[in-house]
Amino acid sequence: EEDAEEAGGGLDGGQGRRQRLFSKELRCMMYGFGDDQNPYTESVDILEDLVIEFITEMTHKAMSIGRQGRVQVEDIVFLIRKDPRKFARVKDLLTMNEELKRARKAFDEANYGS
Amino acid sequence: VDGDDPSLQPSAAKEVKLELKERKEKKQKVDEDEIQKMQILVSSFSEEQMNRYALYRRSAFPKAAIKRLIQSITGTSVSQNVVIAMSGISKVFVGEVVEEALDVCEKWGELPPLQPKHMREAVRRLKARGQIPNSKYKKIIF
Repeated sequence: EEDAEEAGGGLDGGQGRRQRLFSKELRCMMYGFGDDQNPYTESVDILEDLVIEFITEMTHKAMSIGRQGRVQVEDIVFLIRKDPRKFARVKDLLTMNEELKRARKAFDEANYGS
Repeated sequence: VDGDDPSLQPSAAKEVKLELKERKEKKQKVDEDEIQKMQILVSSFSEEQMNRYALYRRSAFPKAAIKRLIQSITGTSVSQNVVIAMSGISKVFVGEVVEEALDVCEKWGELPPLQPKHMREAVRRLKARGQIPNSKYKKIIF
């Protein structure tokens, strides 16, 4: 196997890759989901391209529904409504975020007055 | 209040209330069981399993990069919630691809680390099941 270039700059081995955005995080994620502790760089790169494509698709679709040209949470929730895992995950994350905000606000009011 | 609504017998209203309460309690019990089972499972992990589980939980896309990516496409700003939602479903997406790739790898009698050929076959299979969004090509049914 060839040695892959380090993420973030320099020669791209002739494949015209743009700069890598989240190599480090993807490696951790892949290991977490069951890959080797040291995933192959080529596989990480493929996954990054897939994620960027996924986000790009979702963003374009979200822009075309609801408020045109803008991306709102409601649009995302609507787009993934038929995907049980992703739908449940978004609901969870948004609920947790609300609870965190409420807790932080209560904490601030208790310490500094409203 | 029950007395105000002639169409609802007092006992029927009480029945509905009781059933809702029982369903809520049952759900809480199921959640508590789930939590307990998870605790037993996690406490029996080997060190390697614990490492992997920790990264499974903690790994996340950098919010700034995701925000920049979305905004470079929309040309407008997006809310924090949008970034949270998009990061979250992207991680689920990564999980689906990696799991499928591990399946492929195993079926071909090979071992991790996952190779590009596993990734590509995984994507092919997920697309066939409609699990990867693809608006660039219309599916022809007949």
